[in-house]
Amino acid sequence: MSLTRRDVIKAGVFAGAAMSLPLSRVVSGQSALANRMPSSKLPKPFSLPFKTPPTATIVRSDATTDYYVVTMEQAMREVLPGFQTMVFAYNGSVPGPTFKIKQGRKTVVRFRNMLPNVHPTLLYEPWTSVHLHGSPSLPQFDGYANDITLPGQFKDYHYPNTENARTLWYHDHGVHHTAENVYHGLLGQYQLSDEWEQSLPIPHGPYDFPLMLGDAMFNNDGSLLFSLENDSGLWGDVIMANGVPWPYMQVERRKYRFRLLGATVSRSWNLSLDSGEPMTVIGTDGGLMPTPQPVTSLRMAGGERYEVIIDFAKYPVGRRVILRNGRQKNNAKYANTDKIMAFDVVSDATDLSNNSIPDALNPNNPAMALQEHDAVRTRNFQLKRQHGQWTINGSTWQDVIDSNFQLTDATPQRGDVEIWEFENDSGGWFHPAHIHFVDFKILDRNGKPPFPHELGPKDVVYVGEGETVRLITKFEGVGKYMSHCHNTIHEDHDMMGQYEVIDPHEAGQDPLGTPAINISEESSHPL
Amino acid sequence: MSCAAAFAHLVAAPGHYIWWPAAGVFFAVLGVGQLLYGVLLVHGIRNGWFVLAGIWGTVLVVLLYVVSRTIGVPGAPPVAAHGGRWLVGRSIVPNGAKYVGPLDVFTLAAELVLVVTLLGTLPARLKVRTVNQLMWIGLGLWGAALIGSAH
Repeated sequence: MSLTRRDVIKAGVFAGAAMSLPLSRVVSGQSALANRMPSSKLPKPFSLPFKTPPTATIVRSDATTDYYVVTMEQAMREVLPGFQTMVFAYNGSVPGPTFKIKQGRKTVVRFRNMLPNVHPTLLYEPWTSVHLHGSPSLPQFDGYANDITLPGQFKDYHYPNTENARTLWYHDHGVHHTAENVYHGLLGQYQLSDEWEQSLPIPHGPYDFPLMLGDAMFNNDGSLLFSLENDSGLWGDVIMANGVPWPYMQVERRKYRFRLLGATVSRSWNLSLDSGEPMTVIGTDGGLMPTPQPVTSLRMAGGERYEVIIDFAKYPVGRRVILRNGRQKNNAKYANTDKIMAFDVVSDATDLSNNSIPDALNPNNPAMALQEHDAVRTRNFQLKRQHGQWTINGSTWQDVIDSNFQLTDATPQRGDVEIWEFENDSGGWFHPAHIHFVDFKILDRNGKPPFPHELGPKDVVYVGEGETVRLITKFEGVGKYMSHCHNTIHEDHDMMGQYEVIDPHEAGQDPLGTPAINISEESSHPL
Repeated sequence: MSCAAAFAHLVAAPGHYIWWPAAGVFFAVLGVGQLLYGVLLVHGIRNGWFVLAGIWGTVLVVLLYVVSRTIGVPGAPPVAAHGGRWLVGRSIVPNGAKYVGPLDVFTLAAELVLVVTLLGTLPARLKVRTVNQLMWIGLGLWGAALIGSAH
């Protein structure tokens, strides 16, 4: 017996469905762009007012510690005028509330995952793992990717706050879904101050602003469009500052301090002022720089932080100054992705205190004191795409999981100083390399000195196309910590590894050793 | 083709067992069953009921696969539990077509070729009826997909 052409066609209806439907999300992911909200329906740049997230509030304090409760939940917000967008919020806020912490006070933050069991459109289970980026937290409180909190669970994170003043940020780090969770809003700033930083005459208080830069894409109905291009990245056509598309901000004629954060899934930035005037960089990921660095442009990737001072006294009242985003390699460009926000100079200064930039900011940062000859070894990390996966030295986070979390990329001894060399020989993509737990000093890039804005303590380094970057760091503490690309699409697929700091006299804490607890048991675990 | 599909299911069984023991056992049983079926076919068993059982058994497996890659298998646990293993590879993740892996495609192709091959061995009337039934199932799948995408 044999099949007729008609039989084959009929059977093909079934076979076609079986073959095609499982791939439908890939197809829909690509065709999803066809449903993208057209530029004509997006808000005009500089038509919405700048806003800052609320400050996180303490729920309880004792002699050493302040306690907070943060609930992660699904919410509807008007990101684009006239449209409701489903977001993931920390305590109802996107970005999340800003923590303002003083050095020496410990914090315990209870993160409650009250997100839906399944993301309503992406259909994944939104488990979370909160990483306080820039904090030397113990492994079990560092947001280890597989230390997940499922919807309906909570976990108390303990933060030491022993480090010097800096702009940290907290964000989701749940295994394989970091990009989606961060994209939907699970991020916020955590500003740590110390007496030295507070004593400097730089802008504080009402002249000190978080400035989290993100990008997003929206469907016609106002919902977020999550579209990947071969897992290479997500490139939004709407630029947002603190969650507001292309806002405008009214400023006085004086200096302002902005705590920049690359809060993007993938996009990197090339920041400048349309006036051509410089901005002065005073801080990097790990806090104040030794000396201020005036720059006319600043390259920044996801995860990086820079504190910059913009002096609006240079401009007359009535002048609009635009923060621009110049072209960056391997970033998708849309109609208004070259603009970020506008500053409208509306009055003379009402307060001229803390309105200067001292010549020395923090000359004693331990990371910046490290010298090449302090290093006991050099390690090389190849950042590559292999077999459809993003890899570090050929390995992925899946390999770490397969090893029962034993596989490590490096095992420095406690107290060792090492040089780490990140190599990206591709011209097709860049990688913001992040090392958890440590601050480092960038030694050089392709044998040349780092950019002026990088002359401070860092924990993320931009490894651009065809670049080899060397950095030096000292490993304190003990235990396993992750290092990964901070293009969170790359991170999720699967450019992440871990290193373990070894101390022969002390075992590291298990990063999976303090699991989340069901919300139903919360009453028996008072904060 | 049956042996090829069996091989793939047996390879994937241990990983699935770690994720969800029920899935691991199912894969192992399925693999052994497909292997036996292939061996019996090779030995010349062509009984109509035997062939029909092979067709519909394979169609059921294919349908289960489609469900797992589209709406997810009811009752299946999350792919990674706290501290759990994420071993079986992306292809088991039930909620993302990006996780359709090469082994999935290979197995599915083998099963579809098996179904078509078996159809060709059926008596004419039975063949027509079975092909028509498959077509209606296929149309049902496309219809469900259309309705799903409209929502």
